[in-house]
Amino acid sequence: MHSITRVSHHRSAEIVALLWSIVGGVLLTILGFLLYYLGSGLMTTCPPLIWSGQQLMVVVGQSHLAADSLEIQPVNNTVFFRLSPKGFTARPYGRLVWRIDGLDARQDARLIWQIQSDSSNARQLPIRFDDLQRGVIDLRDQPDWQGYIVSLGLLVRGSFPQPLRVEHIELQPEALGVGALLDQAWQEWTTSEYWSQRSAHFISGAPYRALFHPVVMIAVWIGLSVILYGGFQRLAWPQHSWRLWPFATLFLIGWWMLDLRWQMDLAQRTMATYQRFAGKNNLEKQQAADDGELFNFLQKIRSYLPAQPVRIFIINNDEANRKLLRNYMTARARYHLQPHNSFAAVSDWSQLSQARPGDYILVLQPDKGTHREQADLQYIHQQHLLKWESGELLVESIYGEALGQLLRVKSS
Amino acid sequence: MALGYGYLLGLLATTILLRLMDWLMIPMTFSLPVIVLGMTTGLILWRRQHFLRWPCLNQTTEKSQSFWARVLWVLLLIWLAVRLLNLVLEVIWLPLYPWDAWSTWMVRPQAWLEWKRLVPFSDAQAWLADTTGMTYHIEAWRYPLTVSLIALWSALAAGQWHEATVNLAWWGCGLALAFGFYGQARLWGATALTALIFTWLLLSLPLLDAHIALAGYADLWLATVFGLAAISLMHWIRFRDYQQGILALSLGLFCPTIKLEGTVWALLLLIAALAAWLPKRHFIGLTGIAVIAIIALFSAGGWSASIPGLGDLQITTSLIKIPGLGEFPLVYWNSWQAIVDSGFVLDNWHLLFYLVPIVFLLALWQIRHAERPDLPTTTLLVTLLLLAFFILFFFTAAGQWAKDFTSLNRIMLHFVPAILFWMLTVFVPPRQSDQSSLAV
Repeated sequence: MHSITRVSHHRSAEIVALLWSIVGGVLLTILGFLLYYLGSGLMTTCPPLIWSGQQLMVVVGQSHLAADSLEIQPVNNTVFFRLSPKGFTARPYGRLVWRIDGLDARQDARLIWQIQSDSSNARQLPIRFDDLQRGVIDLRDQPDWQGYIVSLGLLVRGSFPQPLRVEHIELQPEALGVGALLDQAWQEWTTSEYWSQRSAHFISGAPYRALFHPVVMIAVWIGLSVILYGGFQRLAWPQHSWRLWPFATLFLIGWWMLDLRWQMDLAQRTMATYQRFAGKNNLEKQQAADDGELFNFLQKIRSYLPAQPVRIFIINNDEANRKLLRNYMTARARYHLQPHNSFAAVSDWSQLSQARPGDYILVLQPDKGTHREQADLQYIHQQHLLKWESGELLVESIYGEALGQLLRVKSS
Repeated sequence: MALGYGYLLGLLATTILLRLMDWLMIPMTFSLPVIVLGMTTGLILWRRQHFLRWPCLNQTTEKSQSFWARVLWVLLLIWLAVRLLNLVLEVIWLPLYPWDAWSTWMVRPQAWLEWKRLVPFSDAQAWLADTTGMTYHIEAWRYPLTVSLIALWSALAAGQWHEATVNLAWWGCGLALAFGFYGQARLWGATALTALIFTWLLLSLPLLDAHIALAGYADLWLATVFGLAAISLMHWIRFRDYQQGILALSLGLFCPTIKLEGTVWALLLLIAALAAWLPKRHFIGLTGIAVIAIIALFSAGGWSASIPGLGDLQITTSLIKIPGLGEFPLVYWNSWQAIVDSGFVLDNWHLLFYLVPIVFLLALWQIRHAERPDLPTTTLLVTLLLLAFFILFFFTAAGQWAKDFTSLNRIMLHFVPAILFWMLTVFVPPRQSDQSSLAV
């Protein structure tokens, strides 16, 4: 009886020691991370991000490199360029500094960015004239300047007395206080991004370059708690041998906390899925999906095709789109047109010359014809010819609209 | 366990039946495989006492489980049920989403569903030259057929291409993995709570969950087939239970039919089986000969041979070419950052890889001090898996995509169920192998 009481007392003492280790581990972990980022850690983790003129991607405008800068001529009184992708956590970067000549008070200049957890919505910040003149923006006060930024650019509209000359753009980190750091940690832990094409490849669990990665923090907390508990154990009960259950308990609690965070993330994703797709039939789901517009177009195309599967060449006639999205459009079109027998891998225009009478050709135009003159394929309506650089086909136009055109091959 | 393995083997058997139907030029239907499988199942159940025997679970240990252990078991089960419910809602609501699903795995079944036969998918030249209109093309036309056949089976059941119905098979796969894992853990000797904790560790992995929710990739199937094969193999290694051996062999043989790399993973299972089967000094001798041969081969600049009917086999210091698998230029890639990020920073695997080195040390300690004749071989298997992973991402072209994580974690997914079960075997001693058997 006396030994049972002793064992029970010892077990209670172990549990108390474990609880103190957990609490102590949490406090030490949070303190450690805060001290690191309050010190030099933030500057080490978030060094200044610098883009030279060569590292800009001009989306609207005509550019050429001049000495150590990029000169951009406007098109339709607009210049829009993106900084080459360097994803970063917004909050540590408090100042945007640039050396750009040619900005003018009459222009409407805006900083535009997208964050990882809401990449379909672009956020904008109109730049005030005095900020334009100083070449500095203080971003700390901007409520939308948060999250993990995956895309950043500058849009300038208005009159351009001279071309823009961009020498360099720099994002500078600024020290964060305890409150801001804790807020940042909370944001990172509670962030949820919807499913994307990379979700099957990795789950980041927090913005990719988070300051307070949940996995790392939990691992540190477990490590510190193990040390604290081990210390208690050695000091209080030096004669007792090590037991597995306290360490297993710490590990499992840590795992469960990560799983709790993941479950909350999953639940948010499922809520978004519910709002978008629940209660819809197959057709309605496809229409509500990211490529709904393409799907609707392909439904019209399908209505012009025979019921029996036919052979279809599917071509993306927009070179810029092909480079940006690989074969996304043609592969999606092939899927949506199943069970028709589609060839979506045209890599060489000479393959088109192997088309036979009765084959179909679906020419997709993601740009909706805005760059028609630069397209590789041209349909000459009067001559019923589909022409490309090294060949042509006699075709019959079946159906066409801005997004694309369906043709049937008559002869080579 | 029966539910898990039964679901998997039943579906895999169905894919064989569908291939047989095509070979015999019988139009594919849902009902014929159902009839065949039903008859086979009936026969097995009728004659089960002759060849299905599973060890009894230790009822005494179960009854001594404390009240709090039971409460925790129930709470954990509820937690897992919530997770599975969450995932099945995604499977039902979300249209087919991941890239490889709609560009590869789910293209073929739609064509087969239309023609009621396995119309061929071939290369671009074959499509361009085809005059019948029945030769299809996808970029990954060489990929094995099994996963597409599983999708076809679901579509045959629905009578049409209905994405939610087809995608449900992936959720079923995740559930089968959980059932199989739990059942095998209990058979190993784990208590109900310990078995459920490890099953939770498996089912809670974010990347596994993502592959269930975003149905359509083949990696979940390979993880389940290979994982349950490896688990059965671990049982066979310890208990020499021929039924587990049959399960390991059956599932191992299917690995190459799921994804091309399944061939290599199945070979790793074979090496582990040989290590368990051969006397120790014979296996060490064979390994030594193999190592010397590889060193000699590389020192001499390589070796090549032509295999009739298959193609050229080539092994040089700059290239490995295996007929049926492909060519693998050998170049060093520094993939450490990607691996550290994947395993220890991003939340693909929670804390799993922090545990791996600790369990390795524990395993080595047990091998030295405890009576665990199974551990050297099962630890060898896990070592081989990690070595294969290392070679793939540090010395082959796969390394160039490591930094984008495009295949790093999907390959690791194939190994994770086996690794987690091995961890369980390190912490939980095997049941006493003289327990009497129970006919199922």
